[in-house]
Amino acid sequence: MAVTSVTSADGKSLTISIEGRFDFSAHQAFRGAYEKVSPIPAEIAVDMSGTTYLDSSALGMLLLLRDHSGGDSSNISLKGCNEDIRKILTISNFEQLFKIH
Amino acid sequence: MENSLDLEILNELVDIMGDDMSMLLNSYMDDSRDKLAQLEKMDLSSDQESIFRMAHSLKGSSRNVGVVEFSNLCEQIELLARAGTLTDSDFEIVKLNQLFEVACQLLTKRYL
Amino acid sequence: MKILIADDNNTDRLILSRVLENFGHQVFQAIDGTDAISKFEQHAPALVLLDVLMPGYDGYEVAEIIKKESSRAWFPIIFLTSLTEASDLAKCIDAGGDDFVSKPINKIIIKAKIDAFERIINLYHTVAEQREKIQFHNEHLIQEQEAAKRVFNNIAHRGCLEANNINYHLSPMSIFNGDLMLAAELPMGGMRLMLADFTGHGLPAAIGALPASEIFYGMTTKGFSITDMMIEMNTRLYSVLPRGVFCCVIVIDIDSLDEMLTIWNAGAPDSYIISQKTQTVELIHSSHLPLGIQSPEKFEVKCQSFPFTKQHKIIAVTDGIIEAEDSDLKMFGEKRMLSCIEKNLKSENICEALMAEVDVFCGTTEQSDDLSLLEVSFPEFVTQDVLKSTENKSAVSGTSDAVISLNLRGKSLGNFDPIPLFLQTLLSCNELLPHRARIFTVLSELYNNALDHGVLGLDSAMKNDSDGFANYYQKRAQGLTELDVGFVNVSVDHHPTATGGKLVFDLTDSGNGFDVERIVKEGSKNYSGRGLPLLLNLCDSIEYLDGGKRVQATYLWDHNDIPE
Repeated sequence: MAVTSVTSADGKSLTISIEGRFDFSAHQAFRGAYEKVSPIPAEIAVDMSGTTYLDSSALGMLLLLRDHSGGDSSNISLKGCNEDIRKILTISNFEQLFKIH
Repeated sequence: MENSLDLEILNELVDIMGDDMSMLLNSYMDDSRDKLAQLEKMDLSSDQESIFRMAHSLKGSSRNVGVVEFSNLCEQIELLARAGTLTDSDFEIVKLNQLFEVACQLLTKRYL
Repeated sequence: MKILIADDNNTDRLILSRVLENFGHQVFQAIDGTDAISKFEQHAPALVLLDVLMPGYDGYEVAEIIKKESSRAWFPIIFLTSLTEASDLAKCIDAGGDDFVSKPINKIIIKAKIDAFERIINLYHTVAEQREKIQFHNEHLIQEQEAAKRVFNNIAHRGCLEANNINYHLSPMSIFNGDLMLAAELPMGGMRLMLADFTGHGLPAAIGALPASEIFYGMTTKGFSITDMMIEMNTRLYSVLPRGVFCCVIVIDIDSLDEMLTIWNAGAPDSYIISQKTQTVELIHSSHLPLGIQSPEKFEVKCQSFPFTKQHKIIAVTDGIIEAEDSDLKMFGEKRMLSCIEKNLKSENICEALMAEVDVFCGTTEQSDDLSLLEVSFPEFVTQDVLKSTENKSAVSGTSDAVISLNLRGKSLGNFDPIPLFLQTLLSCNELLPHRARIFTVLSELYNNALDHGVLGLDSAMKNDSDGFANYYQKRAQGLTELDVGFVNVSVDHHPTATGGKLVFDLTDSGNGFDVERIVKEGSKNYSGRGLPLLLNLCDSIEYLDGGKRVQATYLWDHNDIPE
């Protein structure tokens, strides 16, 4: 499990990439990726093209990210989701909260 | 004296034992006398193993108290007995006793 | 440190003892093997120095004997040897020795070795102490959790999971179950069930279950709808649960009078409605975010309704079973679940059959999540009250002499369910408690007729097949949202009589009325799903006025005549 993040030059967008399993062990790293970024970027993307697995604690972490980024006014996309991950997101109806690609 | 005793070892021993130096030396001399007596009685043809052990023990304790010349002879006998090749001529009981007594006298004079 | 020296050579032993005493240690001396063993037991030294060559037991044998006495904490053995062959030295370690020192003993070397072992002994003691502390705290924690679990069970599990029509499986991962399975009888007949999965497991997950179960039991017995209950539950969980913690839930109402099932799935895996007659399975997908995520302002509940009779069953699971893994880390999966269900459609106890398949699949692999499965068949119709009144029969209380009335207009008809309110107010009169189910049934029936058939103009003949069923409720929901004008006026008059009391239900709706005579003559089921006969059965009299736009129903009760 590896979490990396890249902020755009103008600071307006942040991309967080997750390689491997997105589960409870990613907690600290994931939080660290967005907490210190100030001001909060207008666009945030979570790149899951390398993510192999997602569980409910990961869903919780995404909710925390959304809360941190303005809640209902946040603009967060979940990119590169494979079939299994998409399934989980669909069951949880997370497309109501995040843009899913 | 120079050959019989190693004064360096003895000086260090005084540092270690302090007031109990004479107690230790008396104990050494009594024990060793007993062991020598036992050694004399041993039979070359059947007892090389026991001779080896006894000589080994005497060697060790004697070296600890700086009684080096005696100790060296014990070592020679020990090695031969261990190999099983000790002969009558090597088994120099008389010389052993002599070296031992000399050492004892010197120790007594110096420390007791 | 306490040190034991065993050497049959007095001179060697005396000198070494003194050397160690000079270093500050407490030294015990043994003159041979046997003496060494007894002195070891007597003084329990922290470290043992053993001469290899001794009469009787030699050093190796002593080492073996005293090391075997493992009731003692770990201690090091250092062999004193004048042997120099590598094989002899290795034999020291093989015999249980931890180190060796060559004779003649070098003061500096022996001190260094003993100091090193002293450090190891201290480390060992620190670890042993910490382990004891941890063990103590762990046991304490487990005791606390067990006590908390008893409280939890009393609060959360007071429902009717043991009823005949329910088969279930709950196997929690730890002392506390993060999955919650609740069942309660509905006051008008039937059952409400909830299967909830709080994120995580153990105590933190179970804590959310307390407010959830309080709300479930409280509102179900009062007759609140699933919608009202879920709004309340989401509001509470939204404020109580930390961000990032949420609750996936399936709620099911089985109405045994209407032969109807209402279900709402928020974030859980598919539920399955089985028809044993047609041997088919209908999947109910999650249609909403789990509870605790959406703010109350945005929260909405849209339930689905299906016909549900004696030949139907419903199965609900949480993700624990779907994600159960075998030794290759493959998941059980929804496909396998569906085919297992299809294989076992005719079983009396599908739950048992499914759990057996899950067991076979997982083998000995440890489960990493709570496993929950619920199988529900048609409940027996029960009008008896769950609460039997134990109040003094002659005590008169609450609203024994009152008129309660409410007029709901336009949009309020879709936004507010007045039945629980009426029920609660009426039931503040203790004498009515045994009659609760009947009163509830009468009032709901009359109100639903007024709303559905009166104001909305729906024809219940639509409900006769399963497509029509969905259609009916869709039209109903649509009708309520679009409603601008229209009203239902509900009034309940309760006054005491010589022998008990009299309830008069008086409802008027803004609909077009109906041909009362024709319907009564036909004894038709078409007027209401259950038909007039039921109302006539429960009430002492019913009268339709204003061309069917107004109904008056009378219910008499007697102190001495408690319904069975």
